[in-house]
Amino acid sequence: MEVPRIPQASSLIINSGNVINFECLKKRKRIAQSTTEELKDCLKTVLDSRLKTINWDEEKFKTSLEFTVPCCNPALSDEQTREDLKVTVKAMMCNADPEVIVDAIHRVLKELDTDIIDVLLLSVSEKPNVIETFHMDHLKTLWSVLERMVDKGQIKTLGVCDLEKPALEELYNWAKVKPSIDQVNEISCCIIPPDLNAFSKEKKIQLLTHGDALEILPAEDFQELMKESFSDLDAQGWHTSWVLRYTALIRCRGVITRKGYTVRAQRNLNNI
Amino acid sequence: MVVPQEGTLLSWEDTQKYADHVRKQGVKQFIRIYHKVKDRSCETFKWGDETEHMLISLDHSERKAFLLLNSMDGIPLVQKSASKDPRFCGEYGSFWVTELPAHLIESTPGKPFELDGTSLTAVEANMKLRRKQINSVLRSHHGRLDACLTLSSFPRNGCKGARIPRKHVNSPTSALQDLIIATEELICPFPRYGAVIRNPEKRRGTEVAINVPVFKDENTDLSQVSEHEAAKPGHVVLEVAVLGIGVAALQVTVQGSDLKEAKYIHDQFVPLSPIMMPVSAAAPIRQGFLTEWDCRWGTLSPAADCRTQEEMGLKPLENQHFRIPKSRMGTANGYLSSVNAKLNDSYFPFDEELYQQFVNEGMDILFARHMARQFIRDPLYILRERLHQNEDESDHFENIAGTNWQCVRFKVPPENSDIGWRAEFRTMDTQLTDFENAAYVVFMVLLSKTIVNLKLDFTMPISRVDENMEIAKLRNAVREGEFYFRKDPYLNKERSDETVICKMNINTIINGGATPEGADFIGLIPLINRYIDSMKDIDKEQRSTLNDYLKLISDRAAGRVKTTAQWIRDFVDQHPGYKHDSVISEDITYDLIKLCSDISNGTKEALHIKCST
Repeated sequence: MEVPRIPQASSLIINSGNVINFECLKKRKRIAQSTTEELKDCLKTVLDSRLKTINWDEEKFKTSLEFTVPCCNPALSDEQTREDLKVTVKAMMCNADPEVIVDAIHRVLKELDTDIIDVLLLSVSEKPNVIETFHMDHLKTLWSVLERMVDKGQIKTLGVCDLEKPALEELYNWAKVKPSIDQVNEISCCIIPPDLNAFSKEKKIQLLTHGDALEILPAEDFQELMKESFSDLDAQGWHTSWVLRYTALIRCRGVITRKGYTVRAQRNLNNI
Repeated sequence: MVVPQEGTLLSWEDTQKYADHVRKQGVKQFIRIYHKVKDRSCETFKWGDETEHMLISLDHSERKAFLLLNSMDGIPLVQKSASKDPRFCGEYGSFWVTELPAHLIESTPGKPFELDGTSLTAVEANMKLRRKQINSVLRSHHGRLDACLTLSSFPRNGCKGARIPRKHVNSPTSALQDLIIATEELICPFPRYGAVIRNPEKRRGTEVAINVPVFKDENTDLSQVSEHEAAKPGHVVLEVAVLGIGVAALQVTVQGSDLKEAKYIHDQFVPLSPIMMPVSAAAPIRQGFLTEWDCRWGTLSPAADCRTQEEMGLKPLENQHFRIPKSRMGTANGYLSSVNAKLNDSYFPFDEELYQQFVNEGMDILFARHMARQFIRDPLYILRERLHQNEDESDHFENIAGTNWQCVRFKVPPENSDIGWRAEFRTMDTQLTDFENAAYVVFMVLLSKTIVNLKLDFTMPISRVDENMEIAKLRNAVREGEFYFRKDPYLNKERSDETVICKMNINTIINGGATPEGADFIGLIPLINRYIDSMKDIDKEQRSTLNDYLKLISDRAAGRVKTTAQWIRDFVDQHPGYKHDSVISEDITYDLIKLCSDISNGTKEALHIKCST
């Protein structure tokens, strides 16, 4: 009979390391791949390489697992200074627990070996904490955490994602650290609504675009990945708590030196 | 960019006498500059365009269109007017220079663009501003309206009664019909220009005769197109060299972060140079005939060919040192990065001794060879005042380097500046509107950034690039041409043999698709989009402008939008005065130029570049 290989695990973190040279990303052919597919390919690549050398006897009893591709090249080369670099992090949160986002951001800072993020873009899932429906309070809870990190000098600029004008205005009026960016989906928002356009111009909020799906890593997709990499039994119950995507750009050259994903998934073992 | 210098020209005999002197001093100057600039690194990515404008005059009552041969008079006016009114300069300003043909004038931004904020979309506004500047100083005489036009080829350039020489700009239209125009009047009257265009002929020892094949329409009698003694059957002959180069180009220069990256970009531009010709084709009419060529490029190389019979291999070598396979204006002679050494599979001579000297100075092999190739050419002109140079001057090096015109130019940084190593992309024809010109320029800039970012590789044997160039200029190559191209664009130097390339059409290369060999090629535009998507700080408005630019290139490659050449052909075909005999009458020329002028200068919408899908 098949037995689960990670029966105790309720938290799993995968860190892709630098994906710039991942073969799986180059192989993409004609049709532009969605970022969901890109993310899944990266995670698969990491798991494939890490699971080859894993000691299953040890993993059996762990409650939290972590798979990381050790990073071979630093974000900064010798010639550049930190000022030359622009580090952008997009935090796509499915879990609105304030402690979780702090942990997530600290992981990225460590990964990039830096103490400051230039731009942090916050995106909150339509279904935070799996069962709830998005409410501005979810966003505000997380925003407060980020404001404190701005105060501490860990983040320079804050932005939000996919807010329409009323929500953006509400956040703007409420927040101590005002959003400087609203990143909107380029497919669902081909034409910028005039009210959003006028408001963002007035408040000097930059409108950027992204091509990410509303849920970048749906639970079914993650479970499918777990099924392929572990077993059917190990795949049950997982859902994403956050996906962080980070890029380090040499400002004046438009060259991206680092790009990576850090993902955390969780499950409640009692519910399986 | 050619900045005219005043001075006294040496005779051709003296120029030949001092050729070795100029070469030797040029080599010395180059080595000095090389050591000064070899480690120069420029963190900031910079780029710019060079756009050539044509000066025309329209007489609406007589229904006549003329080419104006007085670019020389425009420069001081336009510079003065721009400096008088700062609102006229915008953020980037402008810079104007004459070109060798007296009807062309070149504009560039006053300072290079970078990659920050809005500069990718600032180029179009800057182009509009430049157009406004030049149009503001053009005067009108005797009911004729002068204007500038970004059109590559004037249909009847070379035909009688189609041009107004400088000294006749004030003459009434009636006095222009039977004017005999001397070759001198076709050339911008700086001494250097005259020498650069005349001396290749003297060196070669034979007269120039540029044959262009005429398009055969229903009623075309190919036996009647030319009476010139050097005419090949069915060809029209451009009798003077300046007619061969009197066509307007759109050029893009990008700066690499250092010598190594600039060489990388140069080497990637080389295989792309034929690919952009059919997509930008805009010169289907030459000297009053519809031709078999869509692009301007075909007539450049014979116009500047200075090779003697010996060098061409028609006579045994006695007085000259080398057999030279190409004109000094032509396709690239080779790649510069050492990794591409194997791909330089076409013979091209170089001065062995000089090559060794460059290697001893620390240059790597391919770069040393590239420079040693340039120095096999004689100087085409020498100015008496500049013959004997001071320690810190570099005219002789610039003279030789500046008269080696390849389709991609590798630019050595000027020594007393902070300018870095650059590559210039030179094969594109100018388009009618600023929107189109901006689209092509931005496409090339984004492509170069995409290449560096994604570590792409499009190189192939240089002999294949030459084959592609021959196809690229042909009529309708954008639809019918099949080009060698690399199937997998990701850098993988272990596999650089012939199996990595196969023939594809322009649509597949630009937009992606299945190749005849079955495998899919991803396409240049999907690659560029991949790069843009990874840049997180392009705002919505900018991204939408970039999308419009990419869409134009994509639509033209896919045939959803006509190229300028196709559009001109269709215009002629549907003109009531066209007799389907390939002949472009004064009447057709007037209507075409008037429409071009209206579109180019914004009084008529450019409907032909719109695509509904």
